[in-house]
Amino acid sequence: MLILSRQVDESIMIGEDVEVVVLGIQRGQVRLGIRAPGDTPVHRREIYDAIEAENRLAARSPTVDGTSLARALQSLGNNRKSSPKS
Amino acid sequence: MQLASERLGEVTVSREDMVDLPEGLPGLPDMRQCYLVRREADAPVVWLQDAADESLTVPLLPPEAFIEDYCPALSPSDWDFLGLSEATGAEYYLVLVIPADPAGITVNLRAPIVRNPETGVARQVILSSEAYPIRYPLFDGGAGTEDPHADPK
Repeated sequence: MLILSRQVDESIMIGEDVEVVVLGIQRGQVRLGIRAPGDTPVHRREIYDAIEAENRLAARSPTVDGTSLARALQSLGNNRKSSPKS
Repeated sequence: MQLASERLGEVTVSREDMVDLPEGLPGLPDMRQCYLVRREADAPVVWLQDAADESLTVPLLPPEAFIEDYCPALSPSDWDFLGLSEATGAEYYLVLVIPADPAGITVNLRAPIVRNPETGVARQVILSSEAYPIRYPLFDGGAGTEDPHADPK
């Protein structure tokens, strides 16, 4: 792993079009600004880890045929909720 | 064609059900060549069955089975990768987690599997919006979220 020291307002470039700026350091927290093209996905590591964990859990799900859960799932369609908006 | 599945038994799938995941899925990197399996007995659940590994099966839920107007914005690189256009449209499937106590069943709204219905090419897109939870409870009381829109039509 490459290790660099940076001060507030200094930045690093990753490739030609991704810039990570140190905006501030406060009580053990570093605030970072990330400048990247709109099609470069930028996510907190925990989000990616959580999605990996959910996928692995999903792969262990049992089938639902013939159970009351199947009926409950079908009835959800009659009373649909609004989607969260981005 | 016939496909073997530990969970679902012998299933019949056709070309239109193919799901081509060139990147695999996060946490399940080997899921690349898959098929959608729909069975009357557990509708509206749709199963994502790996073609090579009969033990790899993931339950999915089409958003319209429980939620209205789920239509998150995709990035230009997602459109390119999936080869989407206004004409092809896009299919969304949400990963479902069924725990031992089914009351705690959740769907992942943050990372839908988006598929090009014409080519079958798909990817699990991680949305940048914090508005979409990773563990959205399907049943009220599952994780105690209040929904102001829950009144029946």
